[in-house]
Amino acid sequence: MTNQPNSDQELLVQFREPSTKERAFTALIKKYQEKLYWHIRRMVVDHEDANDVLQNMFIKVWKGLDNFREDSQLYTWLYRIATNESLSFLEQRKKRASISLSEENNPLENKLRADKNFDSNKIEWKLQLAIQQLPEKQRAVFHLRYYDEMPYQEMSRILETSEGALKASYHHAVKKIEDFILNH
Amino acid sequence: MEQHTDIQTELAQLSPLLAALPKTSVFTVSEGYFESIALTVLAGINENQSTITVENAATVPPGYFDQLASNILEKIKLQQSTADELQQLSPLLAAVPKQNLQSVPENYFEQLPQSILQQTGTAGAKIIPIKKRPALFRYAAAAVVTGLLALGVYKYASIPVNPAANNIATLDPIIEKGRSMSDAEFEQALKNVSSDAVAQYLLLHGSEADMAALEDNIDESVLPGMDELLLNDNIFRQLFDDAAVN
Repeated sequence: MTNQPNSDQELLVQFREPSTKERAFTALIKKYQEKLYWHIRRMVVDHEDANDVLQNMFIKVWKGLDNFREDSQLYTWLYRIATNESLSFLEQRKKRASISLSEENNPLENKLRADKNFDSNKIEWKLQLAIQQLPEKQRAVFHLRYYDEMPYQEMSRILETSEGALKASYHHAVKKIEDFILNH
Repeated sequence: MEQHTDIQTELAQLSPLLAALPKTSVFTVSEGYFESIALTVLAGINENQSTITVENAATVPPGYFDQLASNILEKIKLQQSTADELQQLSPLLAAVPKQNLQSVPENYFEQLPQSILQQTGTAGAKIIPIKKRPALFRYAAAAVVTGLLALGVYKYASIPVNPAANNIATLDPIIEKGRSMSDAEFEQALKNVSSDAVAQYLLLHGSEADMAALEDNIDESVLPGMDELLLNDNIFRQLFDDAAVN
């Protein structure tokens, strides 16, 4: 592949050209796939679920990219779709679990514990268990801030929540996680 | 724009314990995963299923990320192919609205639920608004209305992708009637179906094949929540047990 576009602006221009649409979309996926994958993976925990959500979100991106308004950053828009898709996935799974009368209290925690590398004595796994105790949206806030080191301004655009509320949410999340780690 | 150091400082103030933790990921992916993801996504545009098989949470096939972009494009092409094909073959046909011109007697569907209720002996049973029911019951209610469980697939799924659903469609022309109904007509026909009639129908006719066809075609984004479930728990549990859907 030659002359691969680098900037989002170039990608968008090429995506809107039928002759370069696929090449631009491929480049877009390659550019953002890892950041988005890990964002999704932290939310849904399981790789197969993360893979499904990632693919679905890129399919939505393909369908919506022509109408993407360039008054926001492409990167922010992609994160918003990834976050919403992850939250929707978790919501649907919760519904399915209740329909099947599942007794699982916290399926994500169970997935963590089932990981072949899981070690409850290691602090990094304790951290993951602590994160799973947070409500889903607060978990997204924590991930964006803690792992992605995202400014509140950008988080606000992604989660459509005020910066003040996000700041409060993150602070509470940190305290809850710290309490969990100290007490488990 | 906040800098990395600002975010770290904030965390250190909030929780020195967390700030001191290394941000190592406990999750892993197999080598090569990211190289093929673009291909896989492109291939997945038209199919409602993943084209890759993953052995466990920590592995993906070699080269997955290498091919993902082209896979996604492949799926997009497939999705667009039927419309494009018709457009190329016959712009005239492509421009014709896909309306079914067949008709049913006036008020047929409005009266049918009550007629079926009488036949099932549940006339007068408690009526629950159809909007409040979970999807499975919407499909089953559709079946009560038409006498065919698979109708629901065609009213609520945009494209029948499941081969079983296609076979049902081919075999029974009544589905075509269901497909020709407008959403308003369909909703009107369903609105007075009782939960008991639906339950009875599922118990008698809800084969696993039908359920599989339905499950494969359900758009879960339109499902109501379980908190909206107004049905009797025992009936619901029994239906799912019998239908092997969970």
